[in-house]
Amino acid sequence: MSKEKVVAFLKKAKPPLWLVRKIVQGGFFVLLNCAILGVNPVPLLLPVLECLGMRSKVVGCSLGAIQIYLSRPEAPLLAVGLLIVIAVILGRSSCAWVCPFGFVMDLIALMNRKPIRVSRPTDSTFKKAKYGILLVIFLVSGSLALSLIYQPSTGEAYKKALGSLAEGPFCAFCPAGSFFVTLPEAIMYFWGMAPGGIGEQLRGLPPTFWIRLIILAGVFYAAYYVPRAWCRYVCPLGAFLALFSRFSLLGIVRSPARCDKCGKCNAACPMNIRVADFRGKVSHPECIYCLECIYACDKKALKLKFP
Amino acid sequence: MDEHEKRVVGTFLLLIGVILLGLALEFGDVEAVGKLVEEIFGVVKSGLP
Repeated sequence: MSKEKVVAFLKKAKPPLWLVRKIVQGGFFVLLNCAILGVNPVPLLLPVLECLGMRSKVVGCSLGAIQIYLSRPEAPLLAVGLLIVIAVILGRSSCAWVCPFGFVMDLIALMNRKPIRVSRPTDSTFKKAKYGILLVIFLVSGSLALSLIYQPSTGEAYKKALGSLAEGPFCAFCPAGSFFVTLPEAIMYFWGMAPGGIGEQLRGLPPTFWIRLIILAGVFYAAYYVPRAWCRYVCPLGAFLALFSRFSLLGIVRSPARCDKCGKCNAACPMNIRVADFRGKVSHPECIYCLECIYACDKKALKLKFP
Repeated sequence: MDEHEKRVVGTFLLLIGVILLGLALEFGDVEAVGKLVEEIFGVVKSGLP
C-alpha cells in the first residue's frame, strides 16, 4: 500500500475524539504513577489531583503542596508559580487531558448514555461553589500560616486544634485522595489481617474514614448522571486554574461567518458552556479544552488557536 | 474586557509566574519540593492504622 493510500485511510478512519482523549489520559495516568515501577519522583507540582499520599506518584498535586507549605509555614513559590504559568499558557487543559481523577470521572460518565443536562441557572449557581471551597481552604491555611509566623505559640495551638486539617483542609476530604490512597490502603490493611477480626477493626476506624467514603460515593454518583460534575462544581484546583485561564494564550476561536448556530457545540460541551454565543475567542474560565466542540462542529467554525 | 486587554493581563500574569519560578529556584524550593514529592503524606489516610 502506498504512503498516500495509508494517509488517506487514516484520515478517513478518524478515531472518535473521546477515544483519543481516553488514550492520552490513560497514558498520563500510567506516566504519573510509574513510581510503582521503580521510577524516581521528580520535583514537579502539576495542577492535577495527583495525591501526595500515593505510593505510586511521580509528581505532586499543586494544591496539596500549597496547603502543606502554608502549614509549615513556608512560601509555596514553585507550586503557585507553576500553577500560574500553566494556567496562563494552557488554561484548564490539564483537567481534560492529564488529571487522573478527571480520567476516572470521564470513565464513569462513559457508562451512562443518557446524562442529565443541568439547567443554565442551576449550573451557573453551582459553579460558584468551587470558588467558595477555594476561599475556605485559603482562609484556613492562610490564617494558620500567619499565626505560625506572627504568634508561634498560638499558631502551634491552632495547628493542634485543626488536627489532620492543618496539613490540608481540602486534602482531608479530597475524593481523589480517598480513591487513590485511602481505599487501596484500607484494602491492603484488611487483606493482611487474620480472618474474624475485620468487624472489630471496622468499628475502630475513625469517623473521617467513613466521611471520606460517603463523599467519594456522592462524587461518583454525581459523575454518573452529570458529566464532570466534580470538575464543574466542586474542584478547588479547577477553581484556581479558572481564575487565570480566562487570560490563557491557548484558546478556541469561533468563526461567526461559518457558524450556522446549529448548537451541536453547546450539546457536546461537558462543561455546559454555550460555545455558539461567543464572538471570536472562546475564553470561558470553565473551558477545559477537551475539544469536543471542535469535533462536533460540521461547519469547521471552531478551531484551536495559540496564542 | 476585550481580547487585547486579556492578552495584556495574561502576559503580565505569565511574568509574575516566571518571577515566582525564578524565586523558587533561587531559594532552593525545587529541592524542597523534590523531598515533598518523595514523602508519603499520612493526612489522606485518615487515621488508618
